[in-house]
Amino acid sequence: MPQYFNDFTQYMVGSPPHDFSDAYSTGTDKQIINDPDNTGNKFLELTAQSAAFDREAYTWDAIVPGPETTNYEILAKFRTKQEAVDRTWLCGSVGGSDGAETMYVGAADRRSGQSRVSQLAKYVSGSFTELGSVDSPDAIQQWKRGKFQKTGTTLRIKTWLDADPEPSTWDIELTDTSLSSGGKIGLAYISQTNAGDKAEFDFFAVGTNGDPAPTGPVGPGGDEQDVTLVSGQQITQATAVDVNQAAAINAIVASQQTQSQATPVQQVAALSSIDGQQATEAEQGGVALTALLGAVEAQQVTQAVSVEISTAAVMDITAVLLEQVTQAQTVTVDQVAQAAAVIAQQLTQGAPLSTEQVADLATVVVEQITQAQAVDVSIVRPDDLTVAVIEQLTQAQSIPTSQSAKVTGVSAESRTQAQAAAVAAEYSLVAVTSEQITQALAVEILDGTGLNVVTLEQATQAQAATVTLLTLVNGIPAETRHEVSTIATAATMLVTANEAQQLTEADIADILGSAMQLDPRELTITRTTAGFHVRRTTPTYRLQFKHSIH
Amino acid sequence: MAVNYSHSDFKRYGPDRAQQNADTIALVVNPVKSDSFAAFQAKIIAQDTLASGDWNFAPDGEDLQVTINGKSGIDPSGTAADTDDIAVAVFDSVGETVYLVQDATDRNITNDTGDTLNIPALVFYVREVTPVV
Repeated sequence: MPQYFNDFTQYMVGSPPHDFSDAYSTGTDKQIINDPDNTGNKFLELTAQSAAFDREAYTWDAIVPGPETTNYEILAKFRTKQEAVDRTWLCGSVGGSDGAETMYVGAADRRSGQSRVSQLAKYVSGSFTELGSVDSPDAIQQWKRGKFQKTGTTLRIKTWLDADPEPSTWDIELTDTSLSSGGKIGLAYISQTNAGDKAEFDFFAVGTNGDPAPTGPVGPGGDEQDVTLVSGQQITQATAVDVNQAAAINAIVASQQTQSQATPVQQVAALSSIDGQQATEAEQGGVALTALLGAVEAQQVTQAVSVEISTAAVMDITAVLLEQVTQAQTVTVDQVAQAAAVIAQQLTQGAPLSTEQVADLATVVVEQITQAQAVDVSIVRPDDLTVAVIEQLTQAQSIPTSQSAKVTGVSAESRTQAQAAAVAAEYSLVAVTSEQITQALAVEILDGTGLNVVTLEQATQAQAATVTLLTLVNGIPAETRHEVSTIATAATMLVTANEAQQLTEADIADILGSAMQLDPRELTITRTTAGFHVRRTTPTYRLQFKHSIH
Repeated sequence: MAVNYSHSDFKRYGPDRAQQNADTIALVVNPVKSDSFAAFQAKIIAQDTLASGDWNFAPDGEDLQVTINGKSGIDPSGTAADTDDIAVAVFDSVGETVYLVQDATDRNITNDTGDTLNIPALVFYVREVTPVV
């Protein structure tokens, strides 16, 4: 039976109840007392044998320990007879033996200092732990009621005066996972003040298996059982999110996994987006894709060991965004598909940043690499690289950009300590701008095709500015060359302009003479089918002596 | 494991077919859709009669809300442990057709003298059609 009610009426007066047992060595005498004012006209009296504290549990044999006693609700009506340092216990999950006691204790009445308290505690193999304590009515010799409940890992207790209605709230409510199996159920009284101190139990009731403790005899009416329907699930403690899919997945969102161990996502089909937010302690964020990946965002991975994105298929990846990877060891993006953009921002302590692309790369932006060792952009296929922007590399060691394809712009700004800025272009180079290179050692531009403009500004400490032009040079303005050591211009060169057909030989001579600080008359310009041929000639002066007759 | 399923006749002919033919509502233990009717019957631990008047229909927007009255004070004929998977079933005992099974919160069920069982009302929806794109 799941419910039990004992008003002690069935026992012999003057003797202990015949179906109760001491789970451990006892320090109290028990007997049944006859009293017409009590429920069933009898009550159970417990009398302390000494003033010593003795762990006790007086268990009811009718309640067989097992799975049915895993969960229980104990209700007792009791009173203590004197002011004393004493305890009245409701005991559940009782097991073990002397010195190795195991039980949950709902102390419905306990003297603590000058207060009376309700207390939840446990013994685990003889080791005591208080779980919680709160003030309760201090009323010696007044009947009280105590209710102690265990539901799963939740423990609850409340104590109130018998004259008052039962409170709707619990005095203490907490969780504990120490004791999970069903044990015996009983009661106890312990006094540490005087031998002879007494407590009385009017009734003792127990509900098991989720049933409430009855407040009166459990008659032939039986238990009323309610069936409830399942309408939804709330998984709040997911330990792992593992998604293996072979079909189209539009989105995977792993949110609020603040302590997730791993978030692997393996896909062999189209994945539009993967959003891993707030993985503040994720060990590993691995995304292996063999299909379309629209976007991969790893945000706020403040302690990620590694963030690896490997794509083995030739599908479009529009964006790979890594933000706030403040302690990332490595950031590796291997792409064999068409990456539109790779943005690695705020890599304040990143070691290497490697982007190997064998497909179209529109943009490579590396910002705020304050301690980057190397920024290597190697493109081994002749695809269009429109922009390579490296900003704020205050301590960059080297910035090599090797391209065998069209490079429309290479801009190295604010490189106050750049060692070298080398641009080797075999194709059309529209513009090379080196600004504010206050300590650049060398600016070398090797151009075998059309170079429209070469601008050297504020090269106040440039050691050398070498421009070797083997083909068409429209203009070579060299401004503010106060300390430029040498400006060498190959003598044999073809000079044309977009408006070449409109320039005369004299125009060419003037332009070159101004640029080379030469007397235009020292230049011989010859128009050819391909353009103009320029030759510097030593002027021949005819010295004419003035003839005089003495 | 949650178990919610309906008979193909229920899907094809709608709740009206079940209303006209189902005569029993029951609590079953560990039902499986593939069970034969005999196997299903062996899993019943409590049951009560169901009449057409126990069915109620009401529009809910473009959907139809169907409510089957619950039953109280049923005398269970069997037991269940909280590790069993219990569910409420609506079926035709004559035509041996299980029309509806809806998952219930698992709990211990006893059938000691005087023990009773209450089955709550079943509520479900027949939704407006949506095309497959």
